[in-house]
Amino acid sequence: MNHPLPDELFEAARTNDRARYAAHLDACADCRAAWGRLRAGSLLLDEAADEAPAVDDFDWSRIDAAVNAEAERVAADIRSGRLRAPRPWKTWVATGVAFAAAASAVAYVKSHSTTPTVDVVAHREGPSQTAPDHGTPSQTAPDTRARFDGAVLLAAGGANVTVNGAATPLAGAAQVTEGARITTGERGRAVLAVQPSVTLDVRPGTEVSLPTMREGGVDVALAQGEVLVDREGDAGAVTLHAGRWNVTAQGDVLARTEAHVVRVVVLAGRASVENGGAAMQYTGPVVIELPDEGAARTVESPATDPLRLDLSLLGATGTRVMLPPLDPSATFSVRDHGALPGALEAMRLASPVRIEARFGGRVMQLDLGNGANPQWRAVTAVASAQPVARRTAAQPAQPAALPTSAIQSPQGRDLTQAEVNAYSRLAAGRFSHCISTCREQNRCAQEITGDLVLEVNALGVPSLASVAHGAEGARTCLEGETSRMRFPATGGDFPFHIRVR
Amino acid sequence: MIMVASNAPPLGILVSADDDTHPPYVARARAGDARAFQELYRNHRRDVARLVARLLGPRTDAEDVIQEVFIQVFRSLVSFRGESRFSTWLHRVTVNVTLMHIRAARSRPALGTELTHEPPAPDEHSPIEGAARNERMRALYKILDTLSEKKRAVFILHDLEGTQANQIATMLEIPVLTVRTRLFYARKEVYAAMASDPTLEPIARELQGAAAASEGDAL
Repeated sequence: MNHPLPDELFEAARTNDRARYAAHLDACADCRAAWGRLRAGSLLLDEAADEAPAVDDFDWSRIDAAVNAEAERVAADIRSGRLRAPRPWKTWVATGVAFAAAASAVAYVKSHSTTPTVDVVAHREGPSQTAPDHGTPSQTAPDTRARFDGAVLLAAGGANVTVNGAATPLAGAAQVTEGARITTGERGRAVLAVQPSVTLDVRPGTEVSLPTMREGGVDVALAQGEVLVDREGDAGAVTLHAGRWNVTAQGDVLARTEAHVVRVVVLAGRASVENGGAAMQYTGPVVIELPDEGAARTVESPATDPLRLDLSLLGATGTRVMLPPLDPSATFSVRDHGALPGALEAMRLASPVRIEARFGGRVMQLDLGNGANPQWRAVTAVASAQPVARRTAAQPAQPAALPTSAIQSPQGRDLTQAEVNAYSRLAAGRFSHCISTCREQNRCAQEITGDLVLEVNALGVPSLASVAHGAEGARTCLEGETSRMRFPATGGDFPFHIRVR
Repeated sequence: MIMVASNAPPLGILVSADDDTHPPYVARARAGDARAFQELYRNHRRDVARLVARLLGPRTDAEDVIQEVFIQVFRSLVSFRGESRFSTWLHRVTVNVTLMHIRAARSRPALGTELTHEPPAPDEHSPIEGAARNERMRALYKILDTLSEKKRAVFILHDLEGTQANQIATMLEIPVLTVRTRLFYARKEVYAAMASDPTLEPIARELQGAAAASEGDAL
């Protein structure tokens, strides 16, 4: 029996054209089940495509406060010269060409003197001076692979790149090339694409260099601090060199230097660890300690042990972490910053210097930058009715379609009251963000009078006939939303009025 | 192949009536004007929020990602060279930050989920309808979560958001052919995942029941 492929079945399911495969579906229970699931999937995709995500319920006051504060900081950094545009890539290329020419000359001289196997790759800046001597990749054999130019996906809070001994602030969308050294300040962070489908997250207080970055593999020398390698599937190899250890990530791996030990957390997938002898394989999740002296050892994951909760694993600002259930009588401390009850449910880094903890109906914050002895303080209550309250408060900015009686369609059937109510709600939901945005951008009047009028044809396809007085600035958005709506096909044309208040 | 694309304009971001190639506040922000940054944020926050919410699905960490997007935009604005429309560059940053967030969330299995409470229900339905819709969307995005982030982004932008392939190519800085290739394989994977996902069966019954009721009762 030849079974139709899922995409063939889906194509029929999109139009509910069961007849196309009726004979097969009647005879094949598996395909019949698949048909039902694909019909459901098709309807889900329709539903998702038809309804724009609702954004009015977001806690905009919190986002506004954080973003506006960042705006002040960035503007101040620009005015003071701390934040500058990186050199354009043409300058980089010019410098690179000049440097390559110089390096070739050096290589030529050397190759005719005492060292027959000079590696022209090594002319670029190697591991940082503070990087370990051991465990760095061999640079004696030429690497014939093409160089891979990485990209900066995120640079924030103070991160620098050093190439050729010249340090410049790292900026988003810039390129990172082989030999670069990245350093992040106390609050800095950088995320780099170092291979297709591989990112290197350089955490605060870190110094890391990229002695080799070629198509198919990258070497990362970690001198100090913490990096997270996020690697997808069969992406290029990533080898971390820290202390006397080499760690080849075959999954997602976090590595951090600590006193006399390198701590490696294999978050997912596998990692192979070696220091000149046989490689050891570890499958995550697992935490490995690689000491300055002695053998590697695995330890219990701090992430699963609330008494040893490690904030550095919280990661980026804004990341919220759901905690495992705790003994209600337990307390634990966060890096010596005070005890929290065992009822703690979730934590997040609200900003680089603020931790937010949520438990029960309460939210508490700890400002790490606030004096030598920061204390937890309650900031707000989490009310279950909050979204409803926000919606109520936002209602004056929303259009409301409130026809009070059934619509008479001159040629076709009338719309029932239930239909009018349902489509009124639908239209109000669709159009509200157009009006809100338009008002925020001062393109629409605060006082809007009159109705939005849709002309609905016999097939139920609406078009925007007129907009309310003061809402002209929202026309493009309203037309877009109108084009996505469908009314019942009544067989006749009718107008549909929506009042904006 | 039949596509699921809606006929909506590609995101509110692109349809702003006065979306100049380089809005004046961009130049002022690059010069260190804090008010210009705030103006930029006010003008684009809803559109960025919609794109983030679309890419993330029904999750409660969208607010954090929106915040991260604007922090990244502010910090990177000095390197915006004006070679593309500002809105295109903004979309690119938004997509990159959101995908990075998704990847980071995937790489923290030991720490559990980001969800701490139910996302609010859409306000155009009753709370029960809203909750049911959230459940359906969660089922859909669970399937989309099986895609690599590159394919996921292209699939969502094209088939759910209605963005054209050439616009996606500009947004993601990849060739149009790559967009189409990713879309082709993304669809294959999505449909195969749907065909074998038993959790869709109750949804099928629910939706088909609702459709039958709608036909019978006219809403």
